[in-house]
Amino acid sequence: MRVFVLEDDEILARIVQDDLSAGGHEVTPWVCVEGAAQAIISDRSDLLVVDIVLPLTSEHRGLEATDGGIRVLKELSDQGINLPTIFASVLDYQINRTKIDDLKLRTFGRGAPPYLRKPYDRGVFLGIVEEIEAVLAIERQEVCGSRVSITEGTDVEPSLVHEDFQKENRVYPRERCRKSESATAGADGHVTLGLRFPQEVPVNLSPREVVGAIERYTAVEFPRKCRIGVVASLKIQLTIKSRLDSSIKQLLEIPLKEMEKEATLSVHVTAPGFRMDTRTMWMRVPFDQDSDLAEFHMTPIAMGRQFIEVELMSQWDRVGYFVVETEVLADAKQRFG
Amino acid sequence: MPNSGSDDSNVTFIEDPAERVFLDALQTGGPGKIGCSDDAQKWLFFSHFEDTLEFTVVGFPEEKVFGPYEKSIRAVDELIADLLKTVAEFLKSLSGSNYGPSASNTNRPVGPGEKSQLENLKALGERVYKRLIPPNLQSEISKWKDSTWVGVSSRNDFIPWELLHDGERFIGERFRFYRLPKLPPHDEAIREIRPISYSPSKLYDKNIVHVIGGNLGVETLERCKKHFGNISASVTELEERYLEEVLEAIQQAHLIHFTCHGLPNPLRLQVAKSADPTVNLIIGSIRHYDMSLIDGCVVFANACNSAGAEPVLGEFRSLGLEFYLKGAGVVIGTIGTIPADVAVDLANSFYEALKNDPDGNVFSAFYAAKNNGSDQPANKWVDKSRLLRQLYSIYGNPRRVMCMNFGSRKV
Repeated sequence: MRVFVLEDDEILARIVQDDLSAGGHEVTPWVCVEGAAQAIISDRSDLLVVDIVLPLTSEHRGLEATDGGIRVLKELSDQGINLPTIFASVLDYQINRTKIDDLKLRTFGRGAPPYLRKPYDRGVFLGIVEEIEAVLAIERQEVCGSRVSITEGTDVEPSLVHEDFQKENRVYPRERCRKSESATAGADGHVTLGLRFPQEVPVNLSPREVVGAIERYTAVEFPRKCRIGVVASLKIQLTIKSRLDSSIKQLLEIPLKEMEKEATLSVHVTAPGFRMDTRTMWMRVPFDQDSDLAEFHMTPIAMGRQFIEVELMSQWDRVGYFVVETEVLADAKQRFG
Repeated sequence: MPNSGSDDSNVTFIEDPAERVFLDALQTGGPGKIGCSDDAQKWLFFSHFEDTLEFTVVGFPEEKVFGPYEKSIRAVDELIADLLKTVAEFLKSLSGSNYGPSASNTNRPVGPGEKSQLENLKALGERVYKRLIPPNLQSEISKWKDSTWVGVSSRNDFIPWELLHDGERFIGERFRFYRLPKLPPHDEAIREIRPISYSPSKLYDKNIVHVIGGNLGVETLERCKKHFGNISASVTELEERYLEEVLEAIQQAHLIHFTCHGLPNPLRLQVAKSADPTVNLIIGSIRHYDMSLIDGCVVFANACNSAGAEPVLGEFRSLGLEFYLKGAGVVIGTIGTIPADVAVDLANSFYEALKNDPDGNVFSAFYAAKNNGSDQPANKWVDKSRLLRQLYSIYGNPRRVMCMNFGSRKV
């Protein structure tokens, strides 16, 4: 695997390089923001290890940009390049969280890209590299040289359905493929084309571009304090971009049925301390838009600290699960009237 | 989202443990290959508040909501505790003296009175079903197709769902039934136990820890050691060891299998030779020992009552849920007393099915093992074994489980 290490601490960079080289990886070290994006593209890197605080140029040691690593990734992102990335920083994750979220990097199913706070454990670092390598290896095996087929009459256009990914409800866009042979019609109603994926997988091929699993941020609103007997609104939406004002976010991966352009979730609320007209609502999540807004009208019937549990269910999974906490106070009229 | 000026600092996102292994499952075909999109799926939400039980059902693929159905029962906590006690005592007597650890597993004679015991088990399941489930929900359930996937989302782990009997069959036998646990939202300690984090795990080199305890008979011991005979994985056997050693070892395991006795008061897995609670695995030792399991690992606690609930200081707790809280993605256990020969048979069927499943899906293997023998000609032993297998329950999310293909897809 080709690993690009963007790190200005030369001692640490050397350690990382030695560790990765010992594991059979090819490592390209880089120490500053300037020229990094172009070097990554030229290097055809599979994985980036990115320090966040970096000098702008190699001659500006000591004049670091606190978001130098982010700038490089943003530059790549603007060119449509989205590579697996491991962050390493002396800064706390929370400080960089919004900027990292905005990059929409691969999360490997964990809700956020791998982030290591310096000083970090080398074993943990190598474990993450190993895991990412395993995932990328599978993707290569499944993508390279495999036949693809198009289902006649599909409205997912333009697209090609990779046989293996079709089974997993994963659809790859047409531009990722190139034609090499003529089409033959199958007896099963499918037209199987002699198409192959490029032998070299584009570096920015990622599940984010796959229709089969879409990612959305949760946006939730409910008052932190409410009055007994007074209706309060619980609003839930799944958004493509995280809300800037949201202090806590959760990134959900929502399975999308084959050939469908939207997922349907049921939103179920469990809140024994509240009277509700409805406890379950349906939510449509289009593959290219924010979801419907689910709004529950809740009347508190019990005083004190109360918990509202929300579960988001697809046909197959509980894709989201969170708890809203609130304090239910006495009715204002009763207290002061 | 309107009113975007407010923040959501009163929202706590509790991680669904299964989420952490989603990518693994996605890559290895887990979510797509188990079942198909036409399979019926029901989500059953259950909660209780004061004396009211509340049930809501969401059905896919028809996308319909049924309920909420409510049932008010006076002193429901007492009733449930009473029911649990009754069920536990009944099952204990059912397992009876004929089912010692050294009993052979096939064609064994059925003792006098056993048939009526089985009938009584059905009757008990039916009684509990009618007592707890509102009539309109019973009517709805009767319309569900056999083999429907039924996921129960509930914190109230005390209902012996699998044992409920609708008058024709046990619920757990009729449907592909599983439990989707919820975490106690008010428990700050739980939130600390399960932070949203990135934790690397090896995907393809599976480690198995097999914990054996309880002075098992020679024949049982020999049979249970064969569970992993033909499986390509590293297996560590811990036979009657110190609790600390067990707790240390299971943290490195992708699959933890217990072959031991499960004992009540307090609920415990007998990992040692002695049955003394202080040297065995109790709920408290799992909860309070500073450890975490590998994300999404599988725990198969093949012991009596390993998924049964126990009322402790006003809350119902189970060993299964404690494992789940420590990071397990799937927990298999029992809600009653299981004869040793039935237990060992089921485990053998499970690992055989797992080995032969190209996707290494634990749920597929579980249902295959649970229904193993259902196509055999009926005889009293087959019938009894089949019924007792209904006492096994499974926690987790079938389509987001760690692939247990034991090295067949090693990269």
